[in-house]
Amino acid sequence: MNIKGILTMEWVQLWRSPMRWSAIIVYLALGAYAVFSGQQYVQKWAVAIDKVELEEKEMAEQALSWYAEGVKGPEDRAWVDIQQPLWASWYTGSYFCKTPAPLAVVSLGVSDTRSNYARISRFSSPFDTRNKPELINPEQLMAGHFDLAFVLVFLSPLLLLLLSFDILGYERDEGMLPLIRLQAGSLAAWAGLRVGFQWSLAFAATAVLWLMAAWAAGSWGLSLWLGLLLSGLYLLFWGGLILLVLSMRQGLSFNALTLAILWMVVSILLPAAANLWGQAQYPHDYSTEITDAQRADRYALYDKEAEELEPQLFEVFPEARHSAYVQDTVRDPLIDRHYYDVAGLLLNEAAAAEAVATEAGRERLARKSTWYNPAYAMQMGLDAVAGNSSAAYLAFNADISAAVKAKVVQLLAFALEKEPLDAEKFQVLRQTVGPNLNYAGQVPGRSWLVLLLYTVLIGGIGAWRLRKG
Amino acid sequence: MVRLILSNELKGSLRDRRVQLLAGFTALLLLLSAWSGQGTYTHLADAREQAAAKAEAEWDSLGAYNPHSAAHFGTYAYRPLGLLRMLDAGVQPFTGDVLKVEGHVANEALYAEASRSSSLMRFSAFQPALVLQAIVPLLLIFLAFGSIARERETGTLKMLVLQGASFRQLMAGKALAYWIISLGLLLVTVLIMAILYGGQMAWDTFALFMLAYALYYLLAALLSVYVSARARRSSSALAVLLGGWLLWVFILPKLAAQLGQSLYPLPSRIVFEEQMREDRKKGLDGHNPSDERRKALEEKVLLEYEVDSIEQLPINFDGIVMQADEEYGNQVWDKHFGDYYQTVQQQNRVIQWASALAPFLAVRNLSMALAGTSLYDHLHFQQSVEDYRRGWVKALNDEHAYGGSKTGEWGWKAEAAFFQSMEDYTYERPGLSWSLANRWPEIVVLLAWLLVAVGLVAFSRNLSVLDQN
Repeated sequence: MNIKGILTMEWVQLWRSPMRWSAIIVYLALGAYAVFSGQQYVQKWAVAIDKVELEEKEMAEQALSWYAEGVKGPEDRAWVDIQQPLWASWYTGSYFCKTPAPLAVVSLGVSDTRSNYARISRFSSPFDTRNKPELINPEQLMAGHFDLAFVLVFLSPLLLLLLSFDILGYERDEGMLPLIRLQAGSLAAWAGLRVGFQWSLAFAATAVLWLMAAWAAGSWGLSLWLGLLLSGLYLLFWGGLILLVLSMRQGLSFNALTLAILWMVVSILLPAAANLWGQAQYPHDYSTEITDAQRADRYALYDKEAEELEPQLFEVFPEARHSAYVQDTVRDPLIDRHYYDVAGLLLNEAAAAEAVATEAGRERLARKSTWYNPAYAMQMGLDAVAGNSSAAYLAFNADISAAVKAKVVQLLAFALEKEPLDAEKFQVLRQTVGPNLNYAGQVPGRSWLVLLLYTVLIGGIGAWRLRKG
Repeated sequence: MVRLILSNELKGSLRDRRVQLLAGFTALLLLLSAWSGQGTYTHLADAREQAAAKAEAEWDSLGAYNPHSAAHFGTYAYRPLGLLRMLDAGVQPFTGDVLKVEGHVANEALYAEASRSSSLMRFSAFQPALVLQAIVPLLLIFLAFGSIARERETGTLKMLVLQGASFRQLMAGKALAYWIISLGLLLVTVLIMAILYGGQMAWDTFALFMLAYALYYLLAALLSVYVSARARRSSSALAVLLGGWLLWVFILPKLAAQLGQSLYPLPSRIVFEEQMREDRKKGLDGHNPSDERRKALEEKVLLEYEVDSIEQLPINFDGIVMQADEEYGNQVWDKHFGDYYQTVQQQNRVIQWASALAPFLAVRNLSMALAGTSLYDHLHFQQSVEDYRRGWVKALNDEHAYGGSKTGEWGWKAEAAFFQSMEDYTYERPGLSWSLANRWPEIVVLLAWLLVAVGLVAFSRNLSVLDQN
């Protein structure tokens, strides 16, 4: 087989085909726009985080200045007493933020349906992030962002299909297949080489888009190469599908029609079916467990005496058992408030556990769906690389819960000491909220595996059928 | 002659195994999606009913309670589900349809489905609207791409024209035949809805819903046949039609939404909330005795009651202060949310005008509007809840002020009967004319496209097309 001759022919055909060039240029243009829009989105996100942190810093600095001046609060708010844990808590309005990952521009994932920062206060719930996403037009959410992930998941296969759809079909329509078989020796190798050439083109165009994204994000780290490998595998999977269709040895129209149907099935129907299955297993609800925890059940706590809440107190903070205040019979309403906070925290935790179990179930089901849902395997892989997957947000919410708990317990510990809270303790309170995280750097191992398996299986069958014939 | 061509094409298509397969597959998708939509609808409707009943019961069982504490306790407003949500969920999965009604703050909708879903949500949901808007036109493309081009390729086109069929008759007959097949699929939808909800259905709205789709399919059929007539080969016709479909259904909707966001950007939530907070600070602070506005109000009330101090007032001044603060807060809300809604509507105008390029957008928006699941419906619901909240908070503040307590009596409780006498929230969905009035550009676009398509077919000349052979 004349490999050089076949590749030269492909190159000449490409050179003389305005349709192919136009497709590549349009693909690159759409990808560039997607990178630009992703970058705009991420910049807005980063600015919001900066603002949140500045707000927290200013508030804390104001409080620290009161400690330094030996005053309890602002002059016009006589009731503020920064030496009380409750007020100190107010002024350590610490935020825990999910910062954009280095390659967040690639896939916005679910970041637009959740908030990327949460105020860690006595009343915070991990569900605050679900209910206060960034301001966005719901019609845009419905249509989905025009991010690079969209281009890579939906359009990169189309580019490959467009470049390859006439392979073999055209020759069949023109009655040249016997000649090709004679000249090339192996139809499988001939078709494989041609599809491989078009794959290289599509991959090269895709690599350009990845490099644009890396340049826009200023990130040339491991994530870029993980993502590039993922894109290569995804295109290989589509190359395998093309070989399978070609192995049917039909004409141009049949091939085009079949490839279009396959694209629709893989990109629309299979993910939609997975969605359907997820909805059936974990239907949406009105989150009454959370509303109860934050309202009816919480208010029912207030009808109780603080002492009645001691079991909850000891569960969260066993050291409380030995504190002088617990053993004393004289009550201090300001300290008792922490009892209610702790009991409220436990209510929130119980409700969140139920809701999180549902979300984790949805996530598990979605991950499992990758075995029959290659487009989602690709999307999930891109989300993981970009740090914007639903799994990343589940982890973020778990960290919010942990931070709220740490703060509530720390406040209780300070309150039980029955000593004025000083600047040092104020700083300790601020630090109960850990450093911001971006939840990036997840290796999209499952996505690689799924795509590789499909490529080997489908491409293998296609090549075998072509060789057999 | 048109009738004869139509009848022949219809018979031929219905006997064709490939058409049977494709149409059967589409009908199956429609049935599956309707089954899933019905399951989701029933589950949500039940969950909504239970949650709403629970919220009402909790409110009614408050017992004797302080009105201001009751305002903090709050209640929930649930949006009823329209029957057509089963067919088209629109933006509802992204907006949420429950709002907490409470004092001091006008909340946004909570617990949107998207905020608790995996990133599978990024793909199309498996709902009848997906099949009706995207898959049925694709079926029409598959049916029609070779309708004329293949006749030309096989040489039967000239024979047909020589036998007396004018070219436009041929095109019209074929397009109408495919349209009738697509109407069959609409009939499946009508039957499903009639069987499931025949008695409860608003048939006028449903008829318009179906009419919008019927016109859309007529447009798709006419354009597909026209492209087939203009193309040199059936494979070129298929490529053009698939490209157009992709552009209309996938690329332009995203691009239009993105463009709207770029042209009319929304502020980040942190900035938005900070501005609202700042504006509210300028007004009365219900808990701030040093506030200047409060002083002015105090003087006015003292003068009105002809007493010298708050303590001498026969009423509870705190209730008056809180209501005044609410009213100022309402102005702030109106200003900021008014700006927000205006920006969102400007973004939507871009999408509406983009529908001039992609009639898919027109039918998608009309479908949502008629199903009551559009953004406008959501905003209407939110405004309706806000109107209710204002009356509700005023009633509580008035009770606090004039119900029998004196200033500073925060422990005073209103009787249980008072809370029970407060009306529960009910939502009246706006009428059909309201829905359509918001969507006149889409109606114009759809009709204009149809007119163009009819014109293209009606003014096609025989020779120009036959010459291509």
